[in-house]
Amino acid sequence: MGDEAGSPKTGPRSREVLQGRDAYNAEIGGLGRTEAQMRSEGKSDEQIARALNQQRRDIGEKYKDLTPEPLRSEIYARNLERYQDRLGPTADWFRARGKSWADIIESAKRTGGGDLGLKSNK
Amino acid sequence: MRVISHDIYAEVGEFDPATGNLTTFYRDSAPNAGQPLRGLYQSLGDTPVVFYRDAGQLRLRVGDLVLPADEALSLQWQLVDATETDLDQHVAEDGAAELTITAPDTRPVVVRYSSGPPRIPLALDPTPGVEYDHWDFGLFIKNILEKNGGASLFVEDAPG
Repeated sequence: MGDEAGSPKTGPRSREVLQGRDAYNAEIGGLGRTEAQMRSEGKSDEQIARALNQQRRDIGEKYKDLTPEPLRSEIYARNLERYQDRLGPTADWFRARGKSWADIIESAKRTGGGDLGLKSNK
Repeated sequence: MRVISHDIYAEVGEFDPATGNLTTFYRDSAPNAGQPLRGLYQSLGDTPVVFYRDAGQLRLRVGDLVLPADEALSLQWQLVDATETDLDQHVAEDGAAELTITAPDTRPVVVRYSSGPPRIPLALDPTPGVEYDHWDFGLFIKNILEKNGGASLFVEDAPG
Protein backbone atom coordinates (compact mmCIF):
# COMPACT_ATOMS: atom_id res chain seq x y z
CA MET A 1 0.00 0.00 0.00
CA GLY A 2 1.40 3.40 -0.90
CA ASP A 3 1.17 6.68 0.96
CA GLU A 4 -2.04 7.55 -0.85
CA ALA A 5 -3.74 4.57 0.65
CA GLY A 6 -2.22 4.98 4.09
CA SER A 7 -1.56 2.16 6.52
CA PRO A 8 -4.17 -0.48 7.30
CA LYS A 9 -4.69 1.12 10.71
CA THR A 10 -5.22 4.63 9.45
CA GLY A 11 -6.92 4.09 6.10
CA PRO A 12 -6.93 6.18 2.94
CA ARG A 13 -6.17 9.88 3.31
CA SER A 14 -6.77 11.63 0.03
CA ARG A 15 -9.50 14.22 -0.37
CA GLU A 16 -11.09 12.09 -3.09
CA VAL A 17 -11.27 9.14 -0.77
CA LEU A 18 -12.73 11.23 2.03
CA GLN A 19 -15.37 12.55 -0.36
CA GLY A 20 -15.96 8.99 -1.47
CA ARG A 21 -16.57 7.93 2.11
CA ASP A 22 -19.13 10.66 2.53
CA ALA A 23 -20.91 9.66 -0.66
CA TYR A 24 -20.77 6.00 0.34
CA ASN A 25 -22.25 6.68 3.75
CA ALA A 26 -24.90 8.91 2.21
CA GLU A 27 -25.98 6.16 -0.18
CA ILE A 28 -26.23 3.66 2.64
CA GLY A 29 -28.25 6.21 4.58
CA GLY A 30 -30.58 6.30 1.60
CA LEU A 31 -31.43 2.65 2.09
CA GLY A 32 -33.63 3.64 5.01
CA ARG A 33 -35.64 5.80 2.64
CA THR A 34 -35.86 2.95 0.15
CA GLU A 35 -37.24 0.76 2.92
CA ALA A 36 -39.80 3.39 3.89
CA GLN A 37 -40.86 3.82 0.27
CA MET A 38 -41.25 0.07 -0.23
CA ARG A 39 -43.27 -0.23 2.95
CA SER A 40 -45.56 2.56 1.76
CA GLU A 41 -46.07 0.53 -1.42
CA GLY A 42 -47.09 -2.50 0.60
CA LYS A 43 -44.03 -4.60 -0.18
CA SER A 44 -43.39 -7.61 2.02
CA ASP A 45 -40.48 -7.94 4.44
CA GLU A 46 -38.93 -10.50 2.10
CA GLN A 47 -39.18 -8.18 -0.90
CA ILE A 48 -37.66 -5.33 1.10
CA ALA A 49 -34.90 -7.49 2.56
CA ARG A 50 -33.89 -8.90 -0.80
CA ALA A 51 -33.96 -5.47 -2.45
CA LEU A 52 -31.93 -3.77 0.28
CA ASN A 53 -29.42 -6.62 0.47
CA GLN A 54 -28.83 -6.33 -3.28
CA GLN A 55 -28.68 -2.53 -3.22
CA ARG A 56 -26.23 -2.63 -0.33
CA ARG A 57 -24.00 -4.98 -2.28
CA ASP A 58 -24.30 -2.75 -5.37
CA ILE A 59 -23.13 0.21 -3.27
CA GLY A 60 -20.16 -1.84 -2.10
CA GLU A 61 -19.25 -2.55 -5.70
CA LYS A 62 -19.67 1.09 -6.70
CA TYR A 63 -17.34 2.27 -3.96
CA LYS A 64 -14.92 -0.63 -4.04
CA ASP A 65 -12.03 1.76 -4.71
CA LEU A 66 -12.34 3.03 -1.14
CA THR A 67 -10.66 -0.20 -0.11
CA PRO A 68 -7.08 -0.14 -1.37
CA GLU A 69 -5.27 -3.02 -2.97
CA PRO A 70 -4.11 -5.58 -2.06
CA LEU A 71 -6.61 -5.46 0.80
CA ARG A 72 -9.59 -5.50 -1.53
CA SER A 73 -8.48 -8.55 -3.50
CA GLU A 74 -7.78 -10.52 -0.35
CA ILE A 75 -11.20 -9.67 1.08
CA TYR A 76 -12.88 -10.59 -2.20
CA ALA A 77 -11.06 -13.92 -2.23
CA ARG A 78 -12.09 -14.88 1.28
CA ASN A 79 -15.65 -13.73 0.63
CA LEU A 80 -15.82 -15.98 -2.41
CA GLU A 81 -14.83 -18.99 -0.32
CA ARG A 82 -17.17 -18.22 2.55
CA TYR A 83 -20.18 -16.75 0.75
CA GLN A 84 -19.54 -17.74 -2.88
CA ASP A 85 -19.86 -14.06 -3.64
CA ARG A 86 -17.03 -11.58 -3.49
CA LEU A 87 -19.40 -8.85 -2.29
CA GLY A 88 -20.40 -10.77 0.80
CA PRO A 89 -23.35 -12.68 2.21
CA THR A 90 -26.55 -12.83 0.21
CA ALA A 91 -30.06 -12.86 1.60
CA ASP A 92 -30.16 -16.63 1.11
CA TRP A 93 -26.88 -17.08 3.01
CA PHE A 94 -28.39 -15.22 5.95
CA ARG A 95 -31.64 -17.18 5.77
CA ALA A 96 -29.78 -20.48 5.91
CA ARG A 97 -28.40 -19.29 9.24
CA GLY A 98 -31.71 -18.41 10.77
CA LYS A 99 -31.74 -14.69 10.13
CA SER A 100 -35.15 -13.08 9.82
CA TRP A 101 -36.06 -10.75 6.99
CA ALA A 102 -35.97 -7.93 9.55
CA ASP A 103 -32.43 -8.96 10.50
CA ILE A 104 -31.39 -8.80 6.85
CA ILE A 105 -32.95 -5.36 6.41
CA GLU A 106 -31.08 -4.02 9.44
CA SER A 107 -27.86 -5.63 8.29
CA ALA A 108 -28.14 -3.98 4.88
CA LYS A 109 -28.43 -0.54 6.47
CA ARG A 110 -25.18 -0.91 8.43
CA THR A 111 -21.83 0.18 7.11
CA GLY A 112 -18.58 -1.70 7.65
CA GLY A 113 -14.84 -1.18 7.63
CA GLY A 114 -14.48 1.10 10.66
CA ASP A 115 -10.81 1.89 10.21
CA LEU A 116 -11.44 2.79 6.59
CA GLY A 117 -13.83 5.43 7.82
CA LEU A 118 -16.80 3.53 6.42
CA LYS A 119 -18.53 2.54 9.63
CA SER A 120 -20.77 5.43 10.58
CA ASN A 121 -23.98 3.80 11.67
CA LYS A 122 -23.20 0.41 13.15
CA MET B 1 -30.11 -35.08 6.55
CA ARG B 2 -28.67 -32.23 4.52
CA VAL B 3 -26.22 -30.01 6.34
CA ILE B 4 -23.90 -27.32 5.04
CA SER B 5 -20.47 -26.12 5.98
CA HIS B 6 -20.44 -22.91 7.99
CA ASP B 7 -17.13 -21.79 6.55
CA ILE B 8 -16.91 -23.12 3.00
CA TYR B 9 -19.85 -22.33 0.75
CA ALA B 10 -18.95 -24.92 -1.86
CA GLU B 11 -19.08 -27.80 0.64
CA VAL B 12 -22.21 -29.53 1.91
CA GLY B 13 -22.78 -32.73 3.85
CA GLU B 14 -25.05 -35.67 4.47
CA PHE B 15 -25.29 -36.20 8.20
CA ASP B 16 -26.66 -39.23 10.01
CA PRO B 17 -27.69 -38.09 13.49
CA ALA B 18 -27.94 -41.67 14.73
CA THR B 19 -24.31 -42.50 14.04
CA GLY B 20 -22.74 -39.07 13.74
CA ASN B 21 -21.43 -39.97 10.32
CA LEU B 22 -20.88 -36.94 8.11
CA THR B 23 -20.11 -37.34 4.42
CA THR B 24 -19.15 -34.20 2.56
CA PHE B 25 -19.64 -33.29 -1.07
CA TYR B 26 -19.04 -30.46 -3.44
CA ARG B 27 -22.25 -28.48 -3.39
CA ASP B 28 -22.72 -28.72 -7.14
CA SER B 29 -22.65 -32.51 -7.11
CA ALA B 30 -24.28 -33.26 -3.77
CA PRO B 31 -26.85 -36.09 -3.97
CA ASN B 32 -29.01 -34.46 -1.29
CA ALA B 33 -29.35 -31.12 -3.07
CA GLY B 34 -33.13 -31.22 -3.07
CA GLN B 35 -33.51 -31.93 0.63
CA PRO B 36 -34.34 -29.26 3.20
CA LEU B 37 -31.48 -27.79 5.15
CA ARG B 38 -31.27 -29.31 8.62
CA GLY B 39 -27.94 -28.17 10.00
CA LEU B 40 -24.53 -26.56 9.85
CA TYR B 41 -21.14 -28.05 10.55
CA GLN B 42 -17.54 -27.09 10.98
CA SER B 43 -14.57 -28.43 12.90
CA LEU B 44 -13.49 -26.36 15.88
CA GLY B 45 -9.83 -27.18 16.14
CA ASP B 46 -9.74 -30.96 15.87
CA THR B 47 -13.32 -31.40 17.06
CA PRO B 48 -16.09 -31.90 14.51
CA VAL B 49 -19.21 -29.96 15.46
CA VAL B 50 -22.66 -30.29 13.93
CA PHE B 51 -25.51 -27.99 14.91
CA TYR B 52 -28.74 -29.47 13.60
CA ARG B 53 -32.44 -30.06 14.04
CA ASP B 54 -33.73 -33.60 14.35
CA ALA B 55 -37.35 -34.49 15.06
CA GLY B 56 -38.04 -30.83 15.80
CA GLN B 57 -35.30 -30.55 18.42
CA LEU B 58 -32.14 -28.50 17.95
CA ARG B 59 -29.09 -30.52 18.88
CA LEU B 60 -25.39 -30.00 19.11
CA ARG B 61 -22.96 -32.77 18.34
CA VAL B 62 -19.46 -32.08 19.63
CA GLY B 63 -17.15 -34.92 18.76
CA ASP B 64 -19.10 -37.98 19.90
CA LEU B 65 -21.24 -36.12 22.41
CA VAL B 66 -24.82 -35.21 21.47
CA LEU B 67 -26.60 -32.54 23.50
CA PRO B 68 -30.04 -30.97 23.22
CA ALA B 69 -29.52 -27.34 22.25
CA ASP B 70 -32.18 -26.06 24.60
CA GLU B 71 -32.34 -23.67 27.54
CA ALA B 72 -30.38 -26.10 29.72
CA LEU B 73 -27.36 -25.87 27.45
CA SER B 74 -24.80 -23.27 28.47
CA LEU B 75 -22.09 -21.96 26.17
CA GLN B 76 -19.23 -19.80 27.42
CA TRP B 77 -16.96 -18.24 24.84
CA GLN B 78 -13.73 -16.30 25.23
CA LEU B 79 -10.56 -15.43 23.40
CA VAL B 80 -7.43 -16.86 25.01
CA ASP B 81 -3.78 -15.95 24.52
CA ALA B 82 -4.86 -13.14 22.23
CA THR B 83 -3.09 -9.80 22.13
CA GLU B 84 -6.17 -8.13 20.65
CA THR B 85 -9.59 -8.79 22.17
CA ASP B 86 -11.62 -6.19 20.27
CA LEU B 87 -13.45 -8.40 17.80
CA ASP B 88 -13.35 -5.69 15.14
CA GLN B 89 -9.56 -5.87 15.30
CA HIS B 90 -8.96 -9.54 16.07
CA VAL B 91 -7.63 -11.93 13.43
CA ALA B 92 -7.40 -15.70 13.28
CA GLU B 93 -3.65 -15.76 13.73
CA ASP B 94 -3.87 -14.12 17.16
CA GLY B 95 -4.43 -16.58 19.99
CA ALA B 96 -7.50 -18.79 19.98
CA ALA B 97 -11.10 -19.02 21.06
CA GLU B 98 -12.21 -21.29 23.84
CA LEU B 99 -15.76 -22.58 23.89
CA THR B 100 -16.98 -24.27 27.05
CA ILE B 101 -20.14 -26.32 26.65
CA THR B 102 -22.04 -27.24 29.78
CA ALA B 103 -25.15 -29.40 29.95
CA PRO B 104 -26.93 -31.23 32.76
CA ASP B 105 -25.44 -34.58 33.77
CA THR B 106 -22.50 -34.08 31.45
CA ARG B 107 -18.92 -33.07 32.12
CA PRO B 108 -18.18 -29.67 30.56
CA VAL B 109 -16.57 -29.87 27.16
CA VAL B 110 -13.92 -27.34 26.21
CA VAL B 111 -12.83 -26.83 22.62
CA ARG B 112 -10.07 -24.47 21.56
CA TYR B 113 -9.72 -23.30 18.00
CA SER B 114 -8.61 -20.53 15.70
CA SER B 115 -11.14 -17.70 15.65
CA GLY B 116 -11.83 -14.76 13.42
CA PRO B 117 -11.07 -13.69 9.88
CA PRO B 118 -7.61 -14.42 8.52
CA ARG B 119 -5.08 -11.58 8.46
CA ILE B 120 -7.48 -8.71 7.82
CA PRO B 121 -9.66 -7.66 10.75
CA LEU B 122 -13.30 -6.72 10.27
CA ALA B 123 -12.38 -3.09 11.00
CA LEU B 124 -10.75 -3.04 7.58
CA ASP B 125 -13.40 -5.13 5.86
CA PRO B 126 -16.18 -3.13 4.18
CA THR B 127 -18.15 -6.24 3.25
CA PRO B 128 -21.82 -5.48 3.89
CA GLY B 129 -23.37 -7.60 6.59
CA VAL B 130 -20.18 -9.31 7.69
CA GLU B 131 -20.10 -10.22 11.38
CA TYR B 132 -17.42 -11.78 13.53
CA ASP B 133 -19.44 -14.94 14.09
CA HIS B 134 -19.34 -15.66 10.37
CA TRP B 135 -15.70 -16.46 11.21
CA ASP B 136 -16.31 -18.34 14.44
CA PHE B 137 -18.77 -21.23 14.44
CA GLY B 138 -18.70 -21.60 18.21
CA LEU B 139 -19.62 -17.98 18.73
CA PHE B 140 -22.26 -18.24 16.00
CA ILE B 141 -23.97 -21.11 17.86
CA LYS B 142 -23.77 -19.23 21.14
CA ASN B 143 -25.23 -16.07 19.58
CA ILE B 144 -28.06 -17.94 17.90
CA LEU B 145 -29.07 -19.75 21.07
CA GLU B 146 -28.91 -16.58 23.13
CA LYS B 147 -30.94 -14.55 20.67
CA ASN B 148 -34.03 -16.71 20.34
CA GLY B 149 -33.01 -20.22 21.21
CA GLY B 150 -32.54 -20.96 17.54
CA ALA B 151 -36.29 -21.11 17.07
CA SER B 152 -36.08 -20.03 13.46
CA LEU B 153 -33.18 -22.26 12.53
CA PHE B 154 -33.66 -25.20 10.14
CA VAL B 155 -37.42 -25.15 10.53
CA GLU B 156 -38.45 -24.30 7.00
CA ASP B 157 -37.13 -24.93 3.55
CA ALA B 158 -34.58 -22.17 3.87
CA PRO B 159 -32.02 -21.93 1.08
CA GLY B 160 -29.01 -23.97 1.84
